[in-house]
This record gives sequence, C-alpha cells and structure tokens, in this order.
Amino acid sequence: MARNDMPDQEMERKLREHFAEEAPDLQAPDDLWDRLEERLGKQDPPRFALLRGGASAIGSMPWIPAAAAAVLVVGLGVGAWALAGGTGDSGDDDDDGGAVAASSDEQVEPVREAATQAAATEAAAYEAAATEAAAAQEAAATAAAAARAVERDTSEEATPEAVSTPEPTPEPTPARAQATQPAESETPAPESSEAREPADDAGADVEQAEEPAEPEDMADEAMDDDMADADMDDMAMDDMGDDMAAEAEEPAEAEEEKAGQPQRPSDTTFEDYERTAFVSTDVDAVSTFSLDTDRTSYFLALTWVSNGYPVEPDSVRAEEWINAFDYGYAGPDGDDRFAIISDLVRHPLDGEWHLARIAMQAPDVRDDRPLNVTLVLDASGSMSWGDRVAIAREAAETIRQSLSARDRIAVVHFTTGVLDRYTVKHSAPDNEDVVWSIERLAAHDSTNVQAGLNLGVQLADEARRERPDAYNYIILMSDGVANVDATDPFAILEGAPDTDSRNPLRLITIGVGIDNYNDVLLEQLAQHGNGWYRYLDDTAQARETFSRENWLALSTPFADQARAQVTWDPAVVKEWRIVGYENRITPDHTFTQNRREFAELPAGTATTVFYELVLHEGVSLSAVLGNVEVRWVDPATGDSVSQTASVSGSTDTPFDDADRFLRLGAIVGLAADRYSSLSPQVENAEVDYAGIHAELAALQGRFESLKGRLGSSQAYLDFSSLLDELTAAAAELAPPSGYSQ
Amino acid sequence: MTDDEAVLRCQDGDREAFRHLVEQYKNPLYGTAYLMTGNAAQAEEHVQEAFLLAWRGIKSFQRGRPVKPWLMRILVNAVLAQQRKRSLTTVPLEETLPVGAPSSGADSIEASEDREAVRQALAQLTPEHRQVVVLRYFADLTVPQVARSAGVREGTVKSRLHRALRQMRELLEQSGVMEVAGNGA
Repeated sequence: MARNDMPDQEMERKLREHFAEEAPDLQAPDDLWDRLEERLGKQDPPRFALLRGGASAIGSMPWIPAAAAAVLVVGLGVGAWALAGGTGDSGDDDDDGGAVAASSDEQVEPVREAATQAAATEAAAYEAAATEAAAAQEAAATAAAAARAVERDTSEEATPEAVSTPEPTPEPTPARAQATQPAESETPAPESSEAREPADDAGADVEQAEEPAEPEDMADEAMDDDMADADMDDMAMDDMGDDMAAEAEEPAEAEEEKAGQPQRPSDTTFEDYERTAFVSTDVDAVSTFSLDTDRTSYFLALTWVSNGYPVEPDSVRAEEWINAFDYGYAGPDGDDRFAIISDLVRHPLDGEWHLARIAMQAPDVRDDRPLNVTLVLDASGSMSWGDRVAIAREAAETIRQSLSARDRIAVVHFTTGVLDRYTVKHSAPDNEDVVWSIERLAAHDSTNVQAGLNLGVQLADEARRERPDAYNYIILMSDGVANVDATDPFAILEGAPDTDSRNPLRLITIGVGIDNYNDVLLEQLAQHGNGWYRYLDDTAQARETFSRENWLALSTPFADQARAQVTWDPAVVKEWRIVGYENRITPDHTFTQNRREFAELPAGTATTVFYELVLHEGVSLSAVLGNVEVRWVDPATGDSVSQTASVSGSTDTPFDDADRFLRLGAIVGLAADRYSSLSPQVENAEVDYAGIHAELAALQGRFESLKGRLGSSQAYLDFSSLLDELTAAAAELAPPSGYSQ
Repeated sequence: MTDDEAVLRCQDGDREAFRHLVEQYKNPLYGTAYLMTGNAAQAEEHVQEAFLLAWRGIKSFQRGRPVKPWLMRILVNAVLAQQRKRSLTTVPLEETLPVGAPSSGADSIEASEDREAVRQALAQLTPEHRQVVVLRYFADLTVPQVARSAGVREGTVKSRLHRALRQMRELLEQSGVMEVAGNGA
C-alpha cells in the first residue's frame, strides 16, 4: 500500500544525490553572459503598461489591420447553427454510415431568422493612446468603482424618473473614428467603468479619455492594492510570474503600434486555459471531460469580427466553436438515452495522424413540469453602453412571453445593490408587476452581481419550496463586470449557495456587450452553477433565442452533471489529444462522482468532441479504438445513469471522403484550437506563429472544398469569413524567420 | 545583491543587475535544459532565450517573488516548444534522449557505474516523466511549481513522478544499483 500512495523516498533520495553529483558537470558556459549581452542589444526592458489579472495575454499580439469589412449574420437555433434543414431528411451521398441525417444543400439554412450586420467599418487603425486607456484593466476599474461605491451611500437609489430615462452610451468605436468626430459630438470614449456613469461623464471628451497617465496611475494603484491583499503562496507566485511575463509583451507591442494598428475592446476578461498535449496511452489511456453545449465563444468571435475587432485568442474555446453548429445527428434508437456516434478519418493536417469524432446527441424530449424562473438583471452603469439594456430587456420579455400559465417568474434588478422597488417575487408570467419591472430595466451605478444573485437564489429557493415539482432557473443577464462585493465566480457562488441538490437551481448566464465584458465570470458562473451560458448580440437574437419553441427545448433539462470518459485501447492508439475542452477536462477519478461543475444539457442538444490520434502501425482497417462512457443524473428522477459505446471507425478514410458535417466540425475545431494557441501561455517565444499560420491556411483550403456542398448556408459563409480573419491574424504574427533562429 | 534588489535595479534598466541574475541562475537553467534535451548546444540556446525573455518581462515582475521558478517556467516553455516542433518530424525519440553529462573522471568506478545507471534509467523515461523528475529533483521546484512550469495539473505531476520513480526503481533494481525494495519502502 505504501508504495502505491507515497513517493518512493529512497528513489527520491537517490535522484537528489545523483543530480547533486551531476550538477558540477552541468554548468552553463562561462561566457554565456557575453553572448547573451550581444543579443540583448541596447534595449532597456520594455515599459510596464499593463496590469495583472483580467486579461493577462490580451495585448500580446500586434493586431491585424481590420481592413476586412466583415458582413456577418449571427444567429442561434436552439443555440446552434443548423446546417441541416431538419432531422427527418434523408442522408445524401456525402454521408457516412447514416450517422448524420442531412438535408439537401438547397435546404441548408440557419434555423432562426438571421440578423445581418453590415460591419463595414472604417476600422482600419486605432491610436496608441487609446491602448493606454485600455491598459487600465479590470483591476483599475474594479478598485476605483469599489472605492466610489464605498463613498457612495449604497442606500441611495435613483428615482424612477431617472431610471426611466436612460441615456444609452454608444459601444466604443475605434479611436481613429472618434478622433475624427467633431469636437461637439462628445461621444464618451472607452474608459474604466466608474467613469461611465452618465451623470459624471456626460461631457467627457476624447482627449480626456486618451490621456494615458491617469489610467496608468490608477492601474498601478489598483495593482498595489491587489498585491497587498493577495495570499502569496507558490501557486499565486507562479501565476504572477506568468501574468507578468505575458503582460510584458504588451508594452513592446504598444510601442511598435503607435499608429495604424487597431486595438482590442477594452476591459474584457478572458481566461487562457492551458492547452492540452498529446498523451501516450502508455502513460494515460483515459480521457475524462465534462460535456458542454455552450457556444458563446464562437458567437463572441463573430460579433468581434463584425465590429472590426480581431478575435482575442484567449476568448476562443474550441469546444464552443465546435458545438455552435448543429450537425443534424440522428436521435437515439431503442433504449439509448443518448445517441452516441463515432467516426474516424485521416487527419486533415497530418497524414500520419487520425481524427476521431465522438458525438453525444440528447433526444428532443419535452417535460411537462412547470418552471420557476428568476430573472436577475444587471442595471449597472456599464449596461448603458450600446444596446445592452435593450437586449437584456428584450430577452427578459421574450422569456416572460414564452412561459406558460403554469410557470412562475420573478424579477430582480441589481446595481450597487438590489433595487428593491423593482423586485417582483414569483408571479404568473402575465402579472402586471412583472411586465412593469422588465420594462423599467435601465442602467446606472456600479455592479454587484453578488447582491443580485443572493436575492435571486433566495427567491428561487422560496419558489422551489412552494412548488417542488417545478424546474428552477435563475437567469442572469449582464456584461459580467462585477465590481462591488464578490467579483470572483466561485466567491459569488459560495455567497449564494444552492442547498438542495435534489432539485437544483440552474443558473443560466446571458452575456451582452463587447467592451467591458467579463467572459470568465459569466462562463464560470454557469459552469459551476448548474447551467449554461449564451451570448446575445442584438435584440433580434434575444427574441429568437428565447422564442417559445426554443425556450421549450432549452428549459427542459435532459441530463444533469453530464460527463464522458473515453478509454483508448493502448494496442491501437499510441497517443491521443483532445481538441479544446481545456476547462472541461476533469480528473479521471471524478468520473463516478456527481459534481455540479459537470454539464447540464437541455433536451435536443448535442456535444461533439474531436480527438487527434496517433495510431500504432499495422492497425487493421476497421478498428475499435476504445470506448466512451457517458454518465449523468436524470433531472426527473435524480438517478445516476450510465451509457457506454465503442469508438470505432475505418483507419483508411481520407479526410476529404468523410461526411461534410464531420469535415466542417473538424475544421472549425482545429482552427479554433490552433488559433487559441496564438495566445502565449507564458512567453511569446513558445508560440509557433508560422506553424499556426500554415495550419490555418491548410484548413482554409480544406474548408474551401466544402463550398460546393455547404456554400449556400449562412453558417458556412460566416465561418468562412471568420476563418479568413483568423488566418490573416496568424499571418500578421508569423515572423519572417522562425522562433529557433 | 539580493534577488529583490537585482530585480528592482533591472526594472530601472541596470544591465549589471541582470547579469547578477544570469550568473545566479544560469547553471540550474542550463542543467535543466540539458537534462531535458540531452544536447549542449540546444540547452545553451534555450537558456539564452529564456534570459532574453526574462529581460523583456522584468519590468512587470513583482518584486519579492522567487525568481527561479519564474525563469524555470520560461525555460521549460522554450524547451517544450522546440520539442513539439521536433515531434512533428520523424526524428526517432531515442535520438533526443539525454546521454548523460561528460564525466568529471573523479569518481570511483563503482560510483561512476551507479551514475551511469541512473543516467540510463533517466534516459529511458518518457520526455514527460523525465521533465517532471528533472524539475522536481534537479531544479528543486515544489510540486505546484513543477505543475506550473510543465503546464500540467498538480495531480498529473504527482502521478508522473510516481510512475517515473517506480520505473526508475525497477530499472535500477534490474541493474543491481538498488536493492529490491520490500513492502513499505
């Protein structure tokens, strides 16, 4: 037992002794400094301009010229792009094994009404000064807003009149465009969030916004506070090292940019999850991950590009790109609860590798249990930007209208605290107070997500007790920029615990906005709050996403705490690597445990995962590669359920011979996966820009070959534009000579 | 000069202070790079690259933090990036295994044989296992630091260490360098 659980102390001692003996022979050359000094040149260390936290890797890229005037159509079916017209269509000659029920090409359309955005912006260049403003990252905004919130009497509430006449602030436009506006336009420029309160900043002009000194000072102060409060253990130290190292790239790029380079939206928060590597089956043949049907990352990317911004690599989660498309999988047969589909094709980027696709399709069932819905609406100042309030209001109203008479709905508005006057406890959907409260949503003050959720959970819990037969949804609509009370997703969830796991509260997060947007908070709240996460770009999307038809599916939970475990046969598979799912991977031993962080899957949704595989030589043509087991909790009964299927396929299927949906998904997934690796996890040096660009370009070629089959679909056109942008961004970064030179 | 003082001076652009850090840490970095790559030229290149990046990022390094793990992570990433590139080619894995440092010639024959056996056992580990062993027992990082440096989870580090040590023990037992352990070793 001891040898299994304890480090082999004798072996450890032996190794330490060995290395101590070896150390004298492992000396760096004496003249290393001399050679290093030559390479250092005459440059001083780059000037510090970015804060830790928030967006560690943001700004590490010199941004591509946003010359592409992308015209994108963004839409959501039951959240996903539909490539096939319906599930009942027969497959065509392009399908393999009947795994995918596809329509004819002529029928390929997005499920929902598309909202066309002409984003033919002039967005060619952004001034360096605005980069400085952007450098005052979340820490500055958070610290300053928190400080102001302390000063301000939190009991102070806006009058109904003030609330009812909000002055929407435009989403920030590129700095060059602002600079060319007449002075009297007084368009508020991107600043830290506390400066966006309408009353204070109605007259803020561009010059003020672009003054670099103040944001930097604020940034430094905020950082110092942050540092002073932090618990500096080893891990925190390492994180700091990483953040600092990554951020160190920013000022250098800012120096180089000056003029002519676009910048990113400011105050955005994304997380750079560590990329997975190939794993030898000799070491570990088991892959465990939470299923996922979020697709926000993909729609965020479309929105960014359509607004003239390059896609932030940290925002790219490959699994959400893959799952943003509806591949039209056939539903389950017989007693199967999921339809589990597997395929194997040769890898599109490496002739020696293979690509396995495993898909798990939930049946499109309906459940007649009533719903308790609690809307938690962000009424903070940052919501005044663009159409955020309008989008949130539209989504809230659409949800209300989609509910049946048996359902109940409550409304909570929060800013610095909860706005009590707008709180409506669970009532019938047509209740006048509910309608009134949703109509009154407006933006002002700071953001206390904690306060809003606390009350939301309290109300939802009360409703659950009164109606134990209902499903319970808490729907948070926000830009995610929490800056009062708890601002960390885990702290927020701990502050508003759900104490009944038998009939859990399901936290759905709805994100709105571009600048000043916290993707991490909203994504993590949903992931760990028993729910899912969506992004809304405009009011039309809000209406469509929560249309009655879509809502019926979205609000019918099919599987709670759903996760999968793939066990590869070491005799067949030599090495494996999962594409994406970095923040969904979970230790193998947790697979048998029911955990809140595992996925909650609405009815009719599918999860698709791709694995890059290196097979052993001489594997037979028709190979069983391993098996996949899916486990979940049945929401209706609370029972734990398991289902297993083998993973198999032909080892000799050329990529171009695979069914077109598989090819599309593979290209989408691999492109996202490669692009996300543009973001250095620590240092730029490890990023093989040229290699990534080459792979993206190769994927472009593969995608082009799908045009004849899918080219008429809006989904194809959208991703085509996006892939062009990604490839162009990588091309900009690819150095003339490689890293090793 | 303490590391903290050196970092502060580096942040003001003081080359001599940076030289102090380079001299202080070049050997553990070089040794780690060598043990991971088995190639002296590559090891030096990686160390130089790591220090170049450290210079670039020194202004944002928080004073008071340990410098060594930060440098080590930069180094490991540089080595891994190179190894990933190499893994895409057809170079047999064996060619990249470290073959051991040049002997100083001062050991007894027995000690020399022991060292050679340990080297060989190390060389037979997978790159992933060898990496965590080197970071843990040569670079003397903690498990969380190894996890951060290698870009894997702590649990993965522990399991790799466990497996690596078990494999090395078996190899050293086979070669007679270590006695076969009993229960509770």
